[in-house]
Amino acid sequence: MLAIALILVCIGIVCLNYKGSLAKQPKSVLTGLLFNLVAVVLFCQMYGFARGIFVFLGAFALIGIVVTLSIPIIKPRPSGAE
Amino acid sequence: MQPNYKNATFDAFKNRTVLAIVMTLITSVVMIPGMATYLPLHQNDSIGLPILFFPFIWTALFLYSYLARSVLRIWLVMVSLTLGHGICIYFALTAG
Amino acid sequence: MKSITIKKLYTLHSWVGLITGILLFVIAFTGAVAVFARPELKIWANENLRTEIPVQSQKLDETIAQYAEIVGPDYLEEVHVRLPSTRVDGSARVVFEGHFETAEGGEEHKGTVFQFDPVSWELLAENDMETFFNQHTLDMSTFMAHFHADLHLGRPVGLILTGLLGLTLMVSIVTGIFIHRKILAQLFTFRITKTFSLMLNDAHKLMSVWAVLFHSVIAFTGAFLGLATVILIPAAAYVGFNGDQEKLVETFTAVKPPVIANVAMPTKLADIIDSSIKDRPDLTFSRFTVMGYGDKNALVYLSGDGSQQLGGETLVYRGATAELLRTQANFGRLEGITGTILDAMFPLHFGNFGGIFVKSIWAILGLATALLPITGLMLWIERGLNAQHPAHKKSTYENFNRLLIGCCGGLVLATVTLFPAQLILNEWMAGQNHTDSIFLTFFSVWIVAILMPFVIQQSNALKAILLPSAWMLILVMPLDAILTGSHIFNVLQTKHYVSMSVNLVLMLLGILLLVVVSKLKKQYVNREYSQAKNLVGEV
Repeated sequence: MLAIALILVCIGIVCLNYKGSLAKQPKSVLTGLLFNLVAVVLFCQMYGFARGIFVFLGAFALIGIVVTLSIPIIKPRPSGAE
Repeated sequence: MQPNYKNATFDAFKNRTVLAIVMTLITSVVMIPGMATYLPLHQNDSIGLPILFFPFIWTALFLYSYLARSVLRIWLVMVSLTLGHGICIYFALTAG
Repeated sequence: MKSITIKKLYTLHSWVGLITGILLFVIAFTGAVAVFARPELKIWANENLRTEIPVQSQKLDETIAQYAEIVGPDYLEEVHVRLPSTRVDGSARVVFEGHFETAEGGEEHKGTVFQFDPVSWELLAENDMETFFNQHTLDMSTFMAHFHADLHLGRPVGLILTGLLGLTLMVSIVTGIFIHRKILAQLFTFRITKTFSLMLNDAHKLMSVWAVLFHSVIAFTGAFLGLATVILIPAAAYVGFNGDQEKLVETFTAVKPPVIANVAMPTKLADIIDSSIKDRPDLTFSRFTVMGYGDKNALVYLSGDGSQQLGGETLVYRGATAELLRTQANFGRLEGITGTILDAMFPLHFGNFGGIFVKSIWAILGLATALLPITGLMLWIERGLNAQHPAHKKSTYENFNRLLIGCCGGLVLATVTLFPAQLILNEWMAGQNHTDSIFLTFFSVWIVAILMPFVIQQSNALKAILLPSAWMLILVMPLDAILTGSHIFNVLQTKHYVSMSVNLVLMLLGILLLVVVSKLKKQYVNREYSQAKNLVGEV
């Protein structure tokens, strides 16, 4: 269940990304939020409400950093592109 | 020539720094027991919440020391907060 | 917001970062390591803790009964026991405490502390409370935990300093939020192929924005934990309890004394521990307190972590009958919201509310907190060095860079050195107090590292700090195998799962650091090339 929750957070964060910015399209934002919401529910199921929320926030922050750091490694921008 | 970075952004920089470092700490520390005397909450919360508020009070006063336009007004706010809460503490202690 | 206000906030953000940045790195980095201080590093550092320790409730019950007779009835008002099965201490500790009236009409607490071997329950040491709590026997795990808490400056100076750093981190966070209001637009932006300065800028922003809640929680709880006992509680007690801090603590404390019946009845500790373990498998019990040991009305407060409550749970038993009276949160049982918040403070700061998974998240995010001032300071130096009209002399930026490399890189090196040092001390000074040697090793390495960038070229100094750090991390596992005979191939026999996991993680970190060093080398070459190009352009 933990692995599923982490994968959901990861997918949710990737959905929120649009070319290096926070996505503005409602569809992407809603999908991203939905994945994260399900992850919150799973974390709360595993750890209880209060602990689950804080575990989610920690995981969300960590995965957010890792995803952002790995974007240029996975998809290098052509030099000169801003 | 080296630009004077501090004075270019803040007027009365030294005065504000004294306020931010010394007066902010004094005021926020005095406010903790002072607030416990008048907060209309359960005794646990009246004592506990000001302690928990301390970091926010200190941060707010620190930023206020540098952001407010008038240095005189910052002094007035800090001194009146300290005195006001000091008086509350005095009455609480003398009332037994 | 007006541009002048933004400018003021930006200046404040820079100055607070410049003044507190290095110290903030020291606190945050040691905090990230200290997340694992208990029990993981404690187990790793003490060979006698490496194998799981059974609870042995019967043995514990008998030992306490035996020593209760020795200390006498005056010292049975409170009996505090730290269970050795949680492996957070090198010994099992039992404190017998009594309250005595002073000549001035006050009350003083006196008692005896017995330390036992965690497995055989043989007596190792006996001290009075004052001597015990003033003596410092540190291994590398407690050294790091204490260093994070008060920088080994003691109370109140050290605690105030770390508390104030929590406050300045809050200022940096608030000012940062206002000056980077448009950060959401670049939330996923990290440009590594452009300039070094741009990469630092992006790294600083992404680590601060993604983990802003974590940084805020750590700053707030850190400020509270640092300042609460030395400033805030005395100040609150001054009015609420006419200066009586003890009374304030008693009001908030979870462990209440019973009305002593003065009727002797044995306290059924073994039954209580056994039934708690059976009925509450979700909890890991770490300690218990008996109020009025051996009395008919004795109460037993057994504390455990791991339940759905953030601050853990305390099971309250009637000592004479082993009947469970109630379960309570530590402070959460108090009326009002304060108790609930207080219960959350410690676990949220230490990250010990969800097992090793949450601890790992907290440690990595703690490293992000440590990297924030580093990237901020590097950015300031980089911009200063590349500016056409810098605010300060070039030598100022260069000296600051040297200080940054020495202090921050040196701290990493000194921390890493403690691992092989602990293994060697365990072997060569077995059974002796390692505190002085640990202090000497840590601070001598750190001082040498701080001086190094001022003596040799900065890039060489950085290499001379990071490469040994990486290799020491890698070599901890083989060194452990040579000195203790505990290695990955016999882990199923020795059952040293925790210490072996620590060794493996250290090795992985070492390899990662080697990769980072090789990347840094390339970055340095590119940076020097671009600086040289700038210079040529200016000429």
